[in-house]
Order: sequence, then structure tokens, then C-alpha cells
Amino acid sequence: LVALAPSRFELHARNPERGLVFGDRHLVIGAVGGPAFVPDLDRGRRAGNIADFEAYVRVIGALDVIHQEGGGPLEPTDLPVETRHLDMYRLLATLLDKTWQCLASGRTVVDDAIEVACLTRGVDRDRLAREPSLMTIVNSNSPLRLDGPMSEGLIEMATYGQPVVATPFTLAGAMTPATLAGALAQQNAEALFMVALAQIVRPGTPMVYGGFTSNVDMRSGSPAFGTPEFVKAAIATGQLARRSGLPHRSSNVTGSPTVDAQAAYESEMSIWASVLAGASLLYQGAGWLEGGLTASFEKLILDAELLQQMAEVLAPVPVDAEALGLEAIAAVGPGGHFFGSPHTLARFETAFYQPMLSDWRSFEAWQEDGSRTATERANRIWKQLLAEFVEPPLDDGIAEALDAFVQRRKREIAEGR
Amino acid sequence: MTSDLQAAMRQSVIDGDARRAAELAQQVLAAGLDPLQAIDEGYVPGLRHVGDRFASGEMFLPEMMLAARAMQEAIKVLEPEMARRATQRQVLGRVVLGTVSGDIHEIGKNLVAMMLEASGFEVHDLGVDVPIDRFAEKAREVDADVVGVSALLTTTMTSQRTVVQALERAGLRPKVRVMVGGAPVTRGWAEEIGADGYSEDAVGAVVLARQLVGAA
Repeated sequence: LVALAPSRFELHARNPERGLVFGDRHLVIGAVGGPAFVPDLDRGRRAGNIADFEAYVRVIGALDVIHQEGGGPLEPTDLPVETRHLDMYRLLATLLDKTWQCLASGRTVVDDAIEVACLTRGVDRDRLAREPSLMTIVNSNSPLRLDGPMSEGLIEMATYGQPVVATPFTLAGAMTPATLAGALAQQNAEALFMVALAQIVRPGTPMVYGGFTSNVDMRSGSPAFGTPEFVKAAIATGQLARRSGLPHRSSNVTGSPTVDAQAAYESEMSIWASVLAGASLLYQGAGWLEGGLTASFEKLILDAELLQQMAEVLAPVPVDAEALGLEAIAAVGPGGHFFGSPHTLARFETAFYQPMLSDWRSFEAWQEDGSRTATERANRIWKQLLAEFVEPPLDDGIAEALDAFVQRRKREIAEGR
Repeated sequence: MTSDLQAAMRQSVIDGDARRAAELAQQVLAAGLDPLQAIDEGYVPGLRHVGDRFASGEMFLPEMMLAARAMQEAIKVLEPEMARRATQRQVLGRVVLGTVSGDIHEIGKNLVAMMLEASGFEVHDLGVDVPIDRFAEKAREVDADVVGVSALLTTTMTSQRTVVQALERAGLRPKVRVMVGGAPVTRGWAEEIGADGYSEDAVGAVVLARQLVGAA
């Protein structure tokens, strides 16, 4: 059954240029999905709400290094549970021209997402099955259980040929044995079970093997992320997924309660692990903080910086006569410098990665400019991106059709349908 | 009861040695000693020690669970004798616990149940995916002092509010106190929905429950 799932598949965005490939050697970066809280430096930590949801989605839209939205960057807990997914989908479909993930908890939230995706792309369900646009995370309730709503969501996604990221919730010590080998064996069984289930529903349903194995703090029972164990599990997950011929998911995770050095080093550890593992999807790629309880605006910018740098690391190093610059070396000779060399002048503006967040000035210059830490600079950056964000063009007819659909579904849900 | 025996009982709980704890309970019975006194002066100080050291980060979660289990094993041995003497361990309070409907996460809730039980509460665990009205029904049935409502998901935590409302409708509030827990739950949320408290972990839940029943 597992062999029926393709080793490579494409996801179609509203804007064809933002379509994605899962598998081969592609790395798709997805934004944070699902946190209950949202903090920023100005207003502190608060419960997720629809105003912050919209602002967050706009900043995600402004960051090109994020290829995919992650299924609602935060939970708008100020909206009624029964219809909140409709407001989320309408914003995701209208504000973004990149792909976005839908929710997975039950048939209804998936079915409504499929309708929104069809309306947004102007396609019917058959074509959507041939050219999928949606994706969702299905978590097993480890150990060894898949709950009712998640089963329904998985089956509904598979029915309409939409890819699912089958992710066991395997925190070693609590939900699996306290050994990596045991945790990975259990992860593999749970992930492949979900892959197989989708193939029974619809053979050929595209699936991503999800790895999320980390460990808990055995003193308190709290989850820990970005740990050495997480790194080893992520790399082994890549090997297991390749053994089954499936694209795989990794994550950018940290257990830090705030945007600080710990958040940065745990995220950097996770990102490197994902890259070394050969992940197809780096989910929770930007914004995730506090073990997934919060989606931070400043962390979103910090992660975008880390990811842009990693993208640059992954770009090949050209080696040809031009790049070698032997003439320039000879012309400058011993003891000179290259600032004025024609070789330098021809490429200095694009020669190196230009950071969005890093500050490379001297101590004095930095101090005179207000002594701002990276987190404080990130605060300015997201606010600027939010202010300057331009919504991607959307046909008026589509926006109206989406609004009409959302209104109709809200009425139906109120009437108990 | 000799101080040696008391110290051994205390140590058996600290060591999480259920077999030793039960064995010492048998000795208590064989010597015709008071089982209630054995619990209160032997085992309980051990559990309190473990709870304190867990709270200060010196002991690990599995050690705390083993200690609670050892305590339970000892009580199991002593229970028939307590019944025969028509004495009962003084129950600190009766607690109804459950994970709200639509949610099957139970690890945290089960840890809370175990710690409450070991600490002297009578616990009625309704399990997971518990229908809203079931909390009030059970609270009335067992004359509960505290109802504990667990939820892990942002989509199910709203049911904690519904449980509080259901208890109010049933006329059980404010006599029956409500405590809430789960990863997305905060003090602010507990206040907003009119619950009486929340805790971050199982040891904190015991402290909170003791406060709620006035046994702090």
C-alpha cells in the first residue's frame, strides 16, 4: 500500500509561479501553523485572534522565503469554533497567492477547504484531485492511536486526492519509549499506517512522511525541541522516508519561551538537521515559538533570516574562469586590495547574501543608532513589511464567490447542517 | 509504631519501591498497628518529600510516578483492615476529572489523577471525550468538592467554559470548585471562564486542589 503513494508530486497555487514540488531534491518551507497564542514586543503575549491572524498572514505573504502557509499561523480563538475555519480560509485564499494548508480535524473543515480551493482556482473537484492545491498535517495521537476527527480529515483529504503530511506525535519519554530507536520505530509504524490508510481510500493519494520525534524533559514532562535528540531523529527520519520512497517533513522547532538566544540556536539546530536529512517540507519553518504554543511576530522575522541564509548556503558555488578571478588576483598583486578592482565593481552589489536582520556595523555605530538587539530590529521589520504589503491581485468574481460561500456555509452550520 | 518502621515506609515511597511499600504494609497488619497512622505518618511524608523535590527540579517525573504508585500499593494492602476497623483514611476531598468532549488527550489528566489520589483525594476519573453534562451529573452523584476539566486543543478548550456553565445551571456552583488544565490553558483563561484555578503540572494541581478544599 505504501508503494502506491508517489515519491514526488506537485502542489498547485493560485499563482502558477508559486506552485511547489515535493520530492526529488526540492525543499519547501512552510510557515508556522496552529499556535494558541501570539506575542510581539509591543503588546506581549495574548490569545490568538482574527486581527492578529490577518496581520500574520500578510507578513507571511510578504516573505518570499516562505513557500507555503502552514494551516493558520495562529488560532483565532475570538471566533466561534464551528465556523472559525471559514473565516481563516477566506483570508488565506484572498491574501495569499502561494499555497496554504487547511485544517484536518474532521470532515467538514476539509470539505469546506476543498470548496474554497476549487473556487479560488476556478476548477472542479476532479481537476483539483488531478492538480492538488491543499495539504494538511494529520497527527496521530501517539502512542498508536489516530483519533476520530483526524481519521475523518485524512479520509476526506484522500477522497479528493489532496496530499496529507502523516505526522506521528512522538515525544520520546512520554508518547514513545525513552530511546531514539524505540521512538523512531514507533514513528515509522504510525506514519506508514496513515500512508496506507490514505491509499486504501484512494490509491495514489500523495503523502508526506512526517517526522516530529523529539523528547520530553524527564524532570517536568514538558516537551523539548531543537535538542540533540531531535537532530538525530530528524536525520534518521530522512533515511526512513527514503526507504519507503516518500517525501518527508521536518520542522523548525524550539522550546524557548521568548525570542532569545535559545530560540535562535534551537531553531538553527532544527533547520540544519532538516537540511542534512534532505527534508522535502520544512514545516513550522517560521514563527514557531514556545514548543508550538505561540506564533511570534519577531520570531517570524528571525526565522526568515535563518532560512534565507540557509537557502543561500544551499545555492551551488559557481567555479569558472570568471568566478575564479585569476586576472583580478594578478592585477591587484601582493599587498593591494580588491575594493576598486573591475572584477569587484562588476558584481559587488550581488556578490554576497544581504541579510535582512543582521547588524554588522561597529559597536559605536550600533550604539549611536539605539543599541537595538536582533529581536528589536525584527519588531521594526515585521511592522514595515505589514505596512507595505500589497495584496496579490484576485479576480473580483472569485472574491465575491468566496464571500458568498462563506456566508452560505455559516448559515448552514447555524442551522445544524 | 517504631520510628524505624516509619522511616522505612517513608523511604519505600521515596525509592518508588512498590513491593517494599506493600511488604511494610503487611508488617503493619501483622503487628496489629493502626493502618491509618501508618499511612499518615509513614507513607505520606515520603510522598510529600518527593513532591517537593520534583517541584524544585531535583527529581524526575518517572520517580514521582513510581512514588505515587508505591503509595497506592501500600494503601491497597491496608484498605481491608481500615474497613474492618470502620476507619477511613480522611479524604481531603472528592474530585471529578475528565478530558472534554472532542478531545482524547489524557496523559496530563492521568498524571493529575494519580497525584491527587496518592495525596489523599478521592478521584473519579471520567476518562476522555466526556460529554459536557456528564461532569455535573457525576459531581452531583459523588458529592464532589472539585471538578477538574482538561483540554489540550484550542478548539476544545472552549468546552471548559461550557462545563463551568453546566455546573452553574445544575446549581452546583460555587460549592463545587472548578480547576482547569491543558497546554493552551492560562491563568487568564481560567479567570475569564469563571474557573477557580489552573495549574501547569500535576504537582501544582495537588497544591491547587488542597487550596480549593481548604486543606492547604
